[in-house]
Amino acid sequence: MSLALFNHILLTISLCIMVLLVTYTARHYAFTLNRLFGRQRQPYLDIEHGVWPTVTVFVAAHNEERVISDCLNALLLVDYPREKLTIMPVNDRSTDRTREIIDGIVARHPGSITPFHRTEGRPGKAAALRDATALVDTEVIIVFDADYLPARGLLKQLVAPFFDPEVGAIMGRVVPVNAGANLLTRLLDLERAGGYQVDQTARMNLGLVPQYGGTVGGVRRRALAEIGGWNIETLAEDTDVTFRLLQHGWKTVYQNRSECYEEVPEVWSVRIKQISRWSRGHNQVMVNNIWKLLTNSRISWHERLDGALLLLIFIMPPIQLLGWIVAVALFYTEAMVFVSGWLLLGALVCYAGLGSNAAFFEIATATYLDGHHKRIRLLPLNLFGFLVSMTAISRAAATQVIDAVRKRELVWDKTERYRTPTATPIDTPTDKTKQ
Amino acid sequence: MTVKHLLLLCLVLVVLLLPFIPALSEWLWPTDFAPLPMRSDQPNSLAFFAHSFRRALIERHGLNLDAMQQAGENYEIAASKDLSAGRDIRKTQEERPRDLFRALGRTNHIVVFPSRAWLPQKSRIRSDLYAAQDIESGDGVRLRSCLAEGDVLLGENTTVQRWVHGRHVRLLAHVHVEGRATAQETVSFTPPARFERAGAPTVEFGNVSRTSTPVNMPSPVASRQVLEGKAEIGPDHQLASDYVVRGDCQVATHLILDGSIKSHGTMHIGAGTRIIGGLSARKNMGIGANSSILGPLIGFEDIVLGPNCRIGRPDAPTTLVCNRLFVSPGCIMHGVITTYDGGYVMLEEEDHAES
Repeated sequence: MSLALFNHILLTISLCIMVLLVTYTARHYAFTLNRLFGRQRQPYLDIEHGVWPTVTVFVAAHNEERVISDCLNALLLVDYPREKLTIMPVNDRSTDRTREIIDGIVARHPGSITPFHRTEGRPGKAAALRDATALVDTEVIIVFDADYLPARGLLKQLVAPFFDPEVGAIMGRVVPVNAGANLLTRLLDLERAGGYQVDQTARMNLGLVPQYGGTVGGVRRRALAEIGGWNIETLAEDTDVTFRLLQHGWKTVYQNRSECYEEVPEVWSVRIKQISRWSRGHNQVMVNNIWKLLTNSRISWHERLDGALLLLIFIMPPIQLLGWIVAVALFYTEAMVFVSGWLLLGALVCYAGLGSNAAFFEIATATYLDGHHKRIRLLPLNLFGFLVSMTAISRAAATQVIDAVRKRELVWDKTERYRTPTATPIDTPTDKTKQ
Repeated sequence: MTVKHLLLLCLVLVVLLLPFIPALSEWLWPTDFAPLPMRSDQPNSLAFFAHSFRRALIERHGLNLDAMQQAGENYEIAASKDLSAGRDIRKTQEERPRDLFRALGRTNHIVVFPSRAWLPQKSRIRSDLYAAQDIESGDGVRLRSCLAEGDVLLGENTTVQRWVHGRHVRLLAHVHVEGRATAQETVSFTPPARFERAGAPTVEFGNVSRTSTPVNMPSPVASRQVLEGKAEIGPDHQLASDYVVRGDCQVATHLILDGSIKSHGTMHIGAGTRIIGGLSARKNMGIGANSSILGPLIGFEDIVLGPNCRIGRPDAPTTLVCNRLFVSPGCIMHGVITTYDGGYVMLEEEDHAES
């Protein structure tokens, strides 16, 4: 192969990557500007009264002795009509004291909690939820992970959108409760703020595809049955549900003010494991759904475009890494003369001028909207967080391809918890009910 | 390497590293690291301000409101720079007692009436009012917020800047509530009037002697129909089902539907229709005369309620949310109304849904 042909191939790859990067850049900016200046669409938040549907709250728990009691105690204080509410901790094959703690709370609150202790079956949250769903007949299912601390009014907020017969799933906002623990948690707090306060909210405002995130959210049981229930073959059953619902004519709603505390990883190794698992699960869903989504003419073109970009999001870090390698190769093979071509130059200018800052602009906007004026100073350090994520996601994508070739099954692993079992949640609902 | 090159290098390094100085400072000496405060701990209640105000009187100002209701004018109120005692001026010799009106005119101030309160016409009240019994006002009064344990009657052309709450709240013609009108039992508007939010077990608009009867309680709906484009739902459709219409939606007159409807376009509900479910429209929604709907009503744009409509049931209050609301006389709403750009109680039906 001649050097000229080699350069040509590299340039073509480079151009494609730049087009993709510029597309995502434009998307980030569109979302941010919408959040700052566009019309906000949160029509279900003000629903105070109605004939509330029956609801089951699943608390997914696998070895959650550190956190499960806080979550269940918080759920016992929610203001949802008691006769329409079933609280069901889904204890999935725990080997620690989770079962004992749940049974203790059940004994102290007879009739308020219906525990489901799963001792066998396929591991993983999706499989546990599938088994639990078979046990309930309520109209709505709300899911929390065991480290979440739902506030008193949260459940009504999460159920309210289901008065709209088009809504199949709801997602609330996740807020790190241990934001101040160390640098990692502070960086994750900023990332989460950008993702929810700007990204998800703008997608809701623009009528695009907000994503159900598997916790602080829920699904309509009828819609779930219509799409075939939880998919136990995937590590990202939440994203999978979002896209299967969309293809069956159901919408997912995001409510930015339906906030719930969660724990974020405090150690880099745990964070890397977590984001690697998300990446593998998300890419699985992407492979299963992207073609069906793009060819589904019943979905509007802007939802299809946004959905496709959302599905491809965990492919972008390895693509960006590839872009850097190609750029270095082009530099040494003296192909930079082609950079003077207006298209490539324009793309480069767009990316250098906008692309590298777009995600940071989102985070900065989210921090501003949240009213946090000082933590925004940490923003430059997020660069390091992104580099770690990029490497972890790229490695996860590479190993996923290898696993697919070798036909190895993807394995679920649990995120570590840090809270001490007796910890009192910040701003507990108990305090409010006393007022 | 020349001095120029070195200077350029230093300059580049400074520009690159400058943003890291505040970043490192915030990392090493944290000043802003608390988790985002949780807003959903606050109950979603339209009467939240009234309840908070009552709580503040008890906790911050040490008033025993139960004892005040028992003792009436004999209750001793300790005045302070934040709080003054009021009295029913209809029982006094002076028409406008100077000390009372000075207190009523103060901002960031509370005036507590241990029994009834009377606000003469065209008064300008800047303080927050509490009355252990009823509050009545003459015409053209402008007040900030008021809470009465008894009834509230506001005269014509009165403006409420923030909120009003009582057992029964009656608002005469041309009243403008810039915030919330809430009541333990009834809020009653006399047309024409304007408001932003209203909530009570029963909110009445004008003469409600001919309002339609409430719908039945719902039974679980097991199916959903998705209709593409513009659609009319009539008696030949399945009448126990939810509907999603991906276009404009028209519902035939006098139809009884056991289910909810969502429309991507405008929604027109025919006269005399009874819908045992909620309605949601991305564009304007018009409800025909004498209709009865269980609710909630979720309008992404405007909603027009024709004459004599009933939304919700006395035992099943509901919610109406929209951008602007136009209500015809004779309507009853059980529950809460939230508008973003105002609610208008009309003298007679006007077709605002088309605008």
